[in-house]
Amino acid sequence: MAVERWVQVLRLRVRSLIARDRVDLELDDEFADHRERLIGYYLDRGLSPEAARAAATADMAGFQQRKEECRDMRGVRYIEDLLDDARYALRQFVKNPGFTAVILLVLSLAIGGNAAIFSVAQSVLAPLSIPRADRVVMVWTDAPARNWHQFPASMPDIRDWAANGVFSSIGAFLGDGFNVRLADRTDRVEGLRTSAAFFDALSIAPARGRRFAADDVRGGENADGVLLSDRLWRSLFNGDQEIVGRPVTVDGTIHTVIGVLPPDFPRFGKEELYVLLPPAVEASDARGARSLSVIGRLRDGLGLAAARQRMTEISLDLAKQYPEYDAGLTASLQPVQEAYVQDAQLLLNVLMGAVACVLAVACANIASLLLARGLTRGRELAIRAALGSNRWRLTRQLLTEHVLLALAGGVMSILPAWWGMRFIASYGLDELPNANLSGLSAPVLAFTFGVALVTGVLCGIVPAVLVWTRDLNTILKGTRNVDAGRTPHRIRGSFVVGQLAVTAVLLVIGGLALRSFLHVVTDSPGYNAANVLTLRIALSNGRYSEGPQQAAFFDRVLERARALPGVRAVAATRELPTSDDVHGSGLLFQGKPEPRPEDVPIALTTSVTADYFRTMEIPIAAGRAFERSDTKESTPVAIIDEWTARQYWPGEQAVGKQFKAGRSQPWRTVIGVVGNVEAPVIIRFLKGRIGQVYLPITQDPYPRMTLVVSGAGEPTSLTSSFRTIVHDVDPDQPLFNVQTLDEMRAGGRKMVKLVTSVLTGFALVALLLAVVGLYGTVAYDVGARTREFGLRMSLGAPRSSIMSMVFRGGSVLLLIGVSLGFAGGLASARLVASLLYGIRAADPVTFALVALLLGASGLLAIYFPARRATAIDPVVALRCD
Amino acid sequence: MSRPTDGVQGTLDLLILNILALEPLNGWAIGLRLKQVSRDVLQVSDGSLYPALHKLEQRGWIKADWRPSENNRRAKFYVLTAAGRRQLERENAKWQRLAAAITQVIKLREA
Repeated sequence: MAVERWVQVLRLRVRSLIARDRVDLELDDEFADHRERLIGYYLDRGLSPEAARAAATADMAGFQQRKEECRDMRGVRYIEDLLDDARYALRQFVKNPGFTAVILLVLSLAIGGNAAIFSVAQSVLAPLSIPRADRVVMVWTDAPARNWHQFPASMPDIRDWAANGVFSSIGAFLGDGFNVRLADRTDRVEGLRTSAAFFDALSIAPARGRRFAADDVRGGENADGVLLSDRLWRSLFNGDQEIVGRPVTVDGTIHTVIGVLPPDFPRFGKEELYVLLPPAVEASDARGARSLSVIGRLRDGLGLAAARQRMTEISLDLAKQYPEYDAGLTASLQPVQEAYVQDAQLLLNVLMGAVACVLAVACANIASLLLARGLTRGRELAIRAALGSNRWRLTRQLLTEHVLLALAGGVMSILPAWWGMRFIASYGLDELPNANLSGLSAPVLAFTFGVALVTGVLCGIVPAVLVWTRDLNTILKGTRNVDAGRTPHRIRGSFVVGQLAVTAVLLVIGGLALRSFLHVVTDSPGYNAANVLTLRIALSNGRYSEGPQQAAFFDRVLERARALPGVRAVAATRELPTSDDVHGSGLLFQGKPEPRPEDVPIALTTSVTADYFRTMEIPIAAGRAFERSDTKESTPVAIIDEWTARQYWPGEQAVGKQFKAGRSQPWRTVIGVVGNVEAPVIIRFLKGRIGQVYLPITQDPYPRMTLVVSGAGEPTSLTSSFRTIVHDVDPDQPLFNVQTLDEMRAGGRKMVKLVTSVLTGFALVALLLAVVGLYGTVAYDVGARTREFGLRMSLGAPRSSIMSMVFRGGSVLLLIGVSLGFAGGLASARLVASLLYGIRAADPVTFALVALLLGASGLLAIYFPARRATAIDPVVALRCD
Repeated sequence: MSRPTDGVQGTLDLLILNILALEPLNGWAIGLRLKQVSRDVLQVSDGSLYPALHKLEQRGWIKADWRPSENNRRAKFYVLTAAGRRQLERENAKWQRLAAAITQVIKLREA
């Protein structure tokens, strides 16, 4: 039976491994038996006992060698050797605890960083739990001629898109924040205002209750329904089993919980609560008001390409029908999975690139450390080779050592990895949805140890290669100086160059991020964000359908607010400069020919009350601010920012000129020019700039305004007073999005802050490693040339010439490394250009500072060994081995 | 560290299996029998016999049987296993085919 045979084979293999001593003893016994029979044979031949024994000994001279061959036959050599190597490696580590600790620390940080980013990427890029997600698309507005892409859409456009049979359902949504009151406690919850079709497009059934139905919208009895995320249900509502049908106060009005979403419901940001779009938005006919994100499910049987084709046709029709709003605009379809990760992609690429660079630097550093040690161990290896170890065996030994080291680093990296994940998740970035779900999952652990293994092999390959490339006999005979050889020196040199280059790239990218961040933080936004409270009011359509009613409401609120103690100034604006809801209008100028609709310059427009500029402390450069005398009946007026004034009336006085903000709008006279304000984040990512136009609320009223309050002290302390005022004017109008202006601005900067802290952190770690690497190489070189320097000095070479020799060698490495790094830095800076703010990718200041930093620390790293070289005592140096 | 080349090694394996097919023997006796049957044509040193025996044992063709020796030590006897016997038949058949082919070639040249 073949099975029998394999049982025997397996039994012997296992026995050879675990009862190695007994198996060896048996071999001895077998040979002893052979010897006795051999002696008996010679005795029979008539030899004396002594002669017989001597003859047997002579015959069996080669048997010791045969023993080894017999052992080889056991087929477990590799495992045995591996265990031997591992034991040997462990002894090596224990003998050099400091060395081992340094390497483990570097490894664990580098591998841990990679594992953390991998884990975050894994949870962010995980497939969405949308049924047939490939049929679901985001529908964006594009203006190709202006190079504007993926803009939100307006409700009239969405209605026209929906009517054309491309989608089986198409829903709109809008990010918003809500104040949720439970008993006596109010929590602010991020959420979405959606149309009912939003959930139809996703086709995900709630875990409990129901989703919005089509007739919830039209003033149906359930128009006040809300859906909860699984997390919100568990946290705020304690997982109440009877939650469906419960009332909850959202933004001051009673709503009803109609359902709870499943835990894996895809999120577009940090939304936890879903409320229907206000009826005013649903019924809006403002075709130019593009603030809605759109998601649609393609009609069955319609392919993506065909759907795109159809949407282009529809867009052309709309452009013809409504040239004023839709000329030059097209609708683009983006698969939802792609939309979901596109913000994350660049960020993750940057982070992954950075950690990979750090790992590469760490690898090169460890390899050259090990190489240096490998050189001092050169003799040990040479002796072992001379004693019959073959080179494969030595190679395996070296690889085993390094892989073991790296695997230990992998184990130790788990802590930094975990910490890194938490750190990134703590930012709660919209750009990294689900980052909070990252953890030490099986794939992450597999990745960690995979990286560790590869690192170990990469680090070990170099010393192993030396075993092959170097003439071991020379080492045996040679002195330490000969021993140094040129090959390892060159390898170490190129390692240092590589480390310096990668470090320079990291420093450039980190420096650019840091400079961007400093710009974002310190650049004046053009207004005073300190101690300003913002509160949003959205007037319900029924009672305030007419512009004058809307203006009157805000007038009454502002008048009472001005009387509040602690209020310095108060005003209202349609949109804050920090808002991502942007309203653009085409500008037409009096006395200039009207361009084609798609070439009309666009400016952001907002309506403000008279005190807006005073409250925000936006300086008035020319003319005047709005006054109470600017009424619906008086001449239409506008205020523009300095950029717009210079752009459209260069070298002229803009005040007194006339323009229209939209073709159907009246001619307006510029009455004032105010300072530029920082554009919203969404605009900053566009190429080029956009001007800002302010209209008086009296002449361009709007039902949804944000109050801005400049207070003397802590701005949030005014919140309850404002609630009272608004409640007194009309108890049905809730206040929401209550935040300080500083908080609003910070929200837009979080990503820059995360990128900056991660990148600069990594860059500094790399700098440290690279400088230590340079130091080590130069120091080793000086050590190896002790005799040469001693000789030179005894022949009269001045110490300064020794110093400059060392500096020359080191600075060549430094120069090549930094030059290569700058080339790489220029190339990679372009890749991250869209993450930068306020500076160009080829920012000369950053490059200069990086050159200075790297150059200075590099020269310092060369200086110490150079000084040691000059301190060599020629007599001692010449006598040394 | 020189080892018999594959051809000789293969032949040695075949001879050992054939010898053990008659009766279990210890290493020493196998060496003697080898010299007898090959009439000293095959120069197999006792030393190179043992790695070959260990290899065959590790492959499961033969197995060890420890018996007391004449002077009360233990001696390792090798026994052909069932798998070894089948292997022997295969190897013999192969060898005979090869030998026949070579004979044929030699006859052709002689003719």
